[in-house]
Amino acid sequence: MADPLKQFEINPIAGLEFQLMGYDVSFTNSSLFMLLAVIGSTLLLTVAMGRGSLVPSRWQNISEMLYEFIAGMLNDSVGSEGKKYFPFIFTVFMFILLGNLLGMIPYSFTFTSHIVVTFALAMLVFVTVTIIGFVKHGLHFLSLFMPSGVSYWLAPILIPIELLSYLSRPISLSVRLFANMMAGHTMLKVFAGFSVSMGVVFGLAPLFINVALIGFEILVAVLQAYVFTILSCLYLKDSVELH
Amino acid sequence: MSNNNDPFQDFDKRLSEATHKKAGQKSEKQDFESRESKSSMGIAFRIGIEMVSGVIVGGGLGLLIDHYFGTSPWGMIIFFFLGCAAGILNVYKATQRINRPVGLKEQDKTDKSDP
Repeated sequence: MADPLKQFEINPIAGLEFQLMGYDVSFTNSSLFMLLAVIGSTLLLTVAMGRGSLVPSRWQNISEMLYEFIAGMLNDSVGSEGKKYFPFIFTVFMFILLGNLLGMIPYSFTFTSHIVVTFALAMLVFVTVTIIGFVKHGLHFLSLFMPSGVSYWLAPILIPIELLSYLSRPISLSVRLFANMMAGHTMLKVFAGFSVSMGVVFGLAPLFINVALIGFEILVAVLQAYVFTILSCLYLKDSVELH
Repeated sequence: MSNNNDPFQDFDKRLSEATHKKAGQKSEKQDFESRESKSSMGIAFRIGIEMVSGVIVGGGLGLLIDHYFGTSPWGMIIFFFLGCAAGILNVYKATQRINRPVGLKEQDKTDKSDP
């Protein structure tokens, strides 16, 4: 049976192996699909919206729906203050969504199934949100770690706990996306392996399960992009409006 | 516009209408979103990760402190338990979010006076 984890191997694309100061900076299949995700979302949002007709075409409809979905989400969670962070949130959402959905195409590579990628994205969100908080509130932002109405003798216990809870945000954000994508793709591969090894007759059962699982995986792909974005919005809300 | 007048003459009226309409749509959409995120498997998975991430961060930070200050094993021990507490705090915060539509929390909070 084929190794179900082989699909997550990162291989440099032939002819694009580079070394920079002792580090391997080759253009890999992961980089290729990241590039495809960027190009895909840019094309979707520029070419489809290029004509900007009043009665939208299908593609224009899709991009308008995505735009309004994220704008509404940001408005609901952060409020009107959050409007200026829309480009950031929307970029993160489109990148993850395209990455997850491109990964559903057979023989493609899911770059969101690597914790390096998701942790980098989560750190990007985390650092940005922290900087926004400090720029907006100055050192008063640190009162996030001391909830209002708590007696002061609890502070030595409470502040480390709140600080650790704050620091665990990028971990939970990245592990959630990575684990969902990796588990789903591994499961698909395992069931596909079953239907090969169980022969033509009995192999049909795992095949039908796989059909259902692929539908479920597409749901997970969209849902996880949504969850990542809404949690980013909630973290943004915490730093934009302090308590 | 059917008439040939200045299209901006009733702009304020149309704007307020659109704003009210949007405010009406908002609650409907929130219902949909909170229902969508309510699959029990998803909740269980999310809560589990919240718990574990607190412990990981606590333990990791404790190990780092031990490594740099040579306080082994006390940093690990103290920060492991603080990490567990942070994990439970994460779980508490996450469960608080589940049953409440997004964006309602600050409305509750504005009622209380902020010291």
